[in-house]
Amino acid sequence: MRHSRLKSTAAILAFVILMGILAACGNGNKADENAGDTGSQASNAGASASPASAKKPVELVLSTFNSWGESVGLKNALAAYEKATGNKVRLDVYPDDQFINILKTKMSTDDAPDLFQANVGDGYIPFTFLEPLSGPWADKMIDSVKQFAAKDGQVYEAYATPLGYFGAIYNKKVFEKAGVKVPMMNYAELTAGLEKIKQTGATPLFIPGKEGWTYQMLQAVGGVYTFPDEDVEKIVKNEEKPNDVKELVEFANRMLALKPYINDNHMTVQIPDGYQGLLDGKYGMMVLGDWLYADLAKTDPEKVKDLGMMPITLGDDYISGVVNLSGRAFGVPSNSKHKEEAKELINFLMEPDNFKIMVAPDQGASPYEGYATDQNPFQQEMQQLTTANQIPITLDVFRQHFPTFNFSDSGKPFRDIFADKPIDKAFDDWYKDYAQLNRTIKTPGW
Amino acid sequence: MLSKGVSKQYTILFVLPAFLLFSLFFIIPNLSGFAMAFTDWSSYYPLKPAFNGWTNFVDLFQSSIFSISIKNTLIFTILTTSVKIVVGFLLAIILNNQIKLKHLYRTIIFSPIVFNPLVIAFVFSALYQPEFGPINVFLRSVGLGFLAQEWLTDLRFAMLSICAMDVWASIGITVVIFLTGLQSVPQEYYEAATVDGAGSFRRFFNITLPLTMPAITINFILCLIGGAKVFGQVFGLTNGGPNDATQVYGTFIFKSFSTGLYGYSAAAGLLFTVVISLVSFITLGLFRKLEVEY
Repeated sequence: MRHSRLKSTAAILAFVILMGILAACGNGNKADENAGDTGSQASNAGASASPASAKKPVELVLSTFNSWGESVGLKNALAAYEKATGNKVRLDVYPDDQFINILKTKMSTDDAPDLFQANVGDGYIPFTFLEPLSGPWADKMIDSVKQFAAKDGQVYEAYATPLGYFGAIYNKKVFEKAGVKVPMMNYAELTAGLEKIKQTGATPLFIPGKEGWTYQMLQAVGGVYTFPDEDVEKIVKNEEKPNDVKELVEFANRMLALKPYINDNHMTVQIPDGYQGLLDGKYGMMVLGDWLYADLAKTDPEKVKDLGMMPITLGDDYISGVVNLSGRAFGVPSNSKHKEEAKELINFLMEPDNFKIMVAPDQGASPYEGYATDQNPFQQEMQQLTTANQIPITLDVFRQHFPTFNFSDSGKPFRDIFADKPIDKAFDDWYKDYAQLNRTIKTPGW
Repeated sequence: MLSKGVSKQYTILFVLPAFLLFSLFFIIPNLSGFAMAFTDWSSYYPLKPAFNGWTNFVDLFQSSIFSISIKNTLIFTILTTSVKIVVGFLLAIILNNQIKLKHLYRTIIFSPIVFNPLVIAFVFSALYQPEFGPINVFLRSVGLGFLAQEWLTDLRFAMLSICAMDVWASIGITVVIFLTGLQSVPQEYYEAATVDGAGSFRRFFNITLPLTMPAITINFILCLIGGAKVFGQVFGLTNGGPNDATQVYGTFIFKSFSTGLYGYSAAAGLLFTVVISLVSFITLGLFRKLEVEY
């Protein structure tokens, strides 16, 4: 009898300890949920423009890339939001090369920030992770942007940067000295130009390859023609592999043939490592985006006047001016703890005046109808060159031809090729990766 | 005094809470991970995982990055294990002798163990910085500028740089285990061998080495498992770059998981567990045969 009582006591004790520990584990979430509820109620109460003092302030966590978190414009716009609402916004920044992975992991493990700023599009942060967004700005979003920020008519991301160009940022003095006329309208003109520049002692093309994705720029900008329409359809339906697209393979061969004209240390240098060299005329050009204008002007306000921007191609009879639609966009994870406040913050930032504060000092065309924006000298020259030479405007190669298809890491084959992997092997390895991804995400035909 | 039967019941009752917790947080998640490895579970369809047989495993062996990560993990494991065993044993022998300040040396060698590998990795990324990093600055200042390298971005040096950091950071534990082994060898054996005319080498190979074999076994297994599980060191220093040149098994799983491919990552994890368990058991068996009773 005594033993039986002892047994029962010990069993109850064990059960109580176990439950106590489990309850302690669960308390954090409960507390968070409560915080979320409180915040949500506060937001609803404040939705009818009630004064900031009437709300219970919350702290929102905004995650983004290290470099994007440095934006003075973003900080100013967030300060304006804090002043207007009483809420606080904590910037949670991560190394640029790790942010997307970390963000997806955090969202998958229920540790999501309240909102984030990342590259626009389902391919970066799947929309299945996100809350639908709405607001006056969503109706004003131009169609080409909506193509990437929305799915099935529903907006999931708020595009938060002016529209600029991808192209070749070049040193006018280097080109003049070498006697090279811009823009170089085809591959023959490009190689002849690079050879002439090399003869002057400058490195014709600077590639900052440590960032990985920068190798892809030659194709993104100079290879829009590499996927003919008939091949696009077959690739998407898994009826053709990259190695079957002869234009793409030819492009890769041509890209590789440019190796003698690029910097030897291309695998180890980053974008800022090229600024001074480009400004001083040590490098002839760098294929990137017009957003670099602000950094270059900051590095040397005088010498930046020697720089220009032009379209580039590796094709024989094809060239286009490429609009950059890979910019910054806000999203709210579906497991955000302060969804309503995060959406409210986005609506605040997307108001025309706040948008202007946020995107400064970047310039370019507005992604929203009726928003006033300015253009920088690179954008002005791109516009002038494309108009004067009747060069069509397109998006980059993947956004132009594959707006919804997921290639996994589309820069991988180009990095591999520059790291001396044979072209056919690089494209085959890439195919295996995106085939697996498309099988997993149940793309029809895979 | 309690009877044997009652005592047994108490044992079970006291073990029960720990067992339940262990099951809840370790056994059940691991078993579900095992099941997950055979599904197409992903962030794209998080609530609809479907059984897909061996597909994840077939995909793993078709992925070029997976094979790179296996190769790099092997290189890392073999290099760091060899260096830690050889250098660790030598350091332990030195520190086991009557040298001045030996306690200070032991503390210095052991101290990096207390830091998280990720923290050490961030410190080393500053040391390895090509332009202003202390290593290259020192090399240039003593006229050895030609030896200054892009330690983390040059394909030839990136993996070696990570290995060097790992050896520095974790050799302390190897040395401590060897020291314990050396101190457990009875002094009389050495005295008897000396009387019999055995020299230093003979004493080392016939006494020290066989009698410290349990310490070597433990160190070997620990280095092997630690090397195969490498993650923080690579993640903090290069995150698998440049161009996957330092991608290891741990960073591969992390990368796959954060891409949202949960089933695929679980398959990689399962494969890893099976391989590491097999290698550990085989190694343990082999070393046991070399151990001697005394």
